[in-house]
Amino acid sequence: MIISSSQQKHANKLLENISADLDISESYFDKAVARYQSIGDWLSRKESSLLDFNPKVYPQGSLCLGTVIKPLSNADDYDLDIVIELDLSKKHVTQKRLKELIGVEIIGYAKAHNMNHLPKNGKRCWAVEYAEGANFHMDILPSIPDATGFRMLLEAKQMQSCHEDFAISITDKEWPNYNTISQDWPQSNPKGYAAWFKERTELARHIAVYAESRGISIDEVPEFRVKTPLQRAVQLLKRHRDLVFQKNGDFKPISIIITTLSALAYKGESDVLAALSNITSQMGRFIVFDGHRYSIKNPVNPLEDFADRWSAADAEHFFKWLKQAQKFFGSLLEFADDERSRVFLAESLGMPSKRVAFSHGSENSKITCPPNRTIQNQPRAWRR
Amino acid sequence: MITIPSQIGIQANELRAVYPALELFGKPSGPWKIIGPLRFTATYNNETLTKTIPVIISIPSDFPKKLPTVKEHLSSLITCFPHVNADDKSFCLGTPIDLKIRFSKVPTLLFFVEEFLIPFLYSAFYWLENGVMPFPDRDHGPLGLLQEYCSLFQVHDPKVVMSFLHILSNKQFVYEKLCPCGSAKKLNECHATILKNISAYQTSSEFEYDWHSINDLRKIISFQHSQNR
Repeated sequence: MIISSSQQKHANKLLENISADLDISESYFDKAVARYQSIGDWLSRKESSLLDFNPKVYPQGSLCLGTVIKPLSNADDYDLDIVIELDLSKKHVTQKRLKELIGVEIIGYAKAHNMNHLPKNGKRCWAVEYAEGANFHMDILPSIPDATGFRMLLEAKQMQSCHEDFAISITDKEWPNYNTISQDWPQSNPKGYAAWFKERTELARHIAVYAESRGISIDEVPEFRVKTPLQRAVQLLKRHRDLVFQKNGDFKPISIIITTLSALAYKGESDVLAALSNITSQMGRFIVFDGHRYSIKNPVNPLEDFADRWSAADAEHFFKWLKQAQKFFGSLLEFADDERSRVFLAESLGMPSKRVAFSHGSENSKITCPPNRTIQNQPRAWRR
Repeated sequence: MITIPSQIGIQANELRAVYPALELFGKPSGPWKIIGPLRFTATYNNETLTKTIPVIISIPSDFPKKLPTVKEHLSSLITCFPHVNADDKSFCLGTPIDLKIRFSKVPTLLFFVEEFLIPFLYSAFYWLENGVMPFPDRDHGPLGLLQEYCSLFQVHDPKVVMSFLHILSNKQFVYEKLCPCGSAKKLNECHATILKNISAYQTSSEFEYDWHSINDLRKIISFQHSQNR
């Protein structure tokens, strides 16, 4: 198959349009940020029982990574995962106590904000549901900073990692020492993972390019405005996965697996199409198989295996999906020049075909026809 | 993660719903700016123009009390338009007092863009293409300011404008005195309401500043007169 550069351009444009449509709206983004900040404000208020522990609240997961996508249907929830970190030590507090300390404040928050349901005490998180219209769901992960403990653990196992400074210890109701003082807590490192992912996706470079092209300084660029080819590729793969596993949810690979494998496979391709082509052909190589079971190591915590619950059937479904994705995104090149096929492909990814048909070929798909303003009673131009 | 003050965030979203290519930028502590290509279509007297111009709209920290300022962003399509300030290249959308009065009614970014910026850009592009203004403008500097106050006070005599500006600079209304407009009525029964209304839109020192600008203009004019004689 001979691919012309115009076909490549069209296919890239098409992918950009589709993935931009997968982005959550800015108002949802603002709402999400307002929500977690409001929790932060609550914990830092004068009467807060956690004030002495210097509570820190920050988001984790796809919102932080810039890979968040709209839910497939309007009935689905938007998930917001946040971490609450308290300045406490494993010497003085049990997992259960930490969970309860934070629980008291979260329940107080829910009551003060007239929520219909009280927060649920989940396995690792407090789950908060917002009743009003917006189908919002927030998982709050109680934690304490634990860089030292994590380093010691790695040393003991003769392992190495990166971004250990951000490591935290978290609680798990099913952990053996849940209710006793112990050094043995579950570990996590969401900030470290985000830092690793941002390195892989070369976010800093893309922000610099974005800022330069707009004549503004780097710290004026809201991170969510910039989308790198890797972030776009992850969004598209996640949406493709949602569609493929729509009726087979039990085997749906989790987002962190897709994100990690994509980031590992990414080689700095400068457009989405090239990134997808490389990622879908290479990501399988980063799954380790020891003859019995599969594993996908957390890049910032070699002790954590994202595939620890994978059965042979899970693996089989994953590889089958990966092949489908490779074929699907590969076919874009052949089809991108043909209007009907483009519409079909866009619709296959759950995007309204009208938008794609309209935006094709225009330099900036976001520039639509502006409303016609009738000028009347305008101010009179002047000059100092 | 950069957080946006909710008021500006909501207004920027409202603006972007109509003009999606405009984007909000800023440091967490401000100031905030809207940057992007503004594509607009506007009609005046059955003549329609569709144009795109990259703009940067700077939002002051005390917005909406103070109005945003606008200039072209990384281009110079309309730099030669006479209503672009020569020093900082900002657009002179109108006299400050006129803009403040209008803006107070709907103090939003969308209103600012649609009611001030787009008519201004329309006149700029029209002027570039036809060499004439599509609709009347104000003279530059104090003269334009004087015209504005004449129209606001509904008077023609510059001396009366000066008297009214003097009252506004002191914000002291002596209602029982005769109105400076020469109607032979008391201020209370004549221009008091107009003055009271206008006084809400600027501080007394801003009115005083305008008084001085127009006074300097009068000095120059009388000097020129004496030279010509």
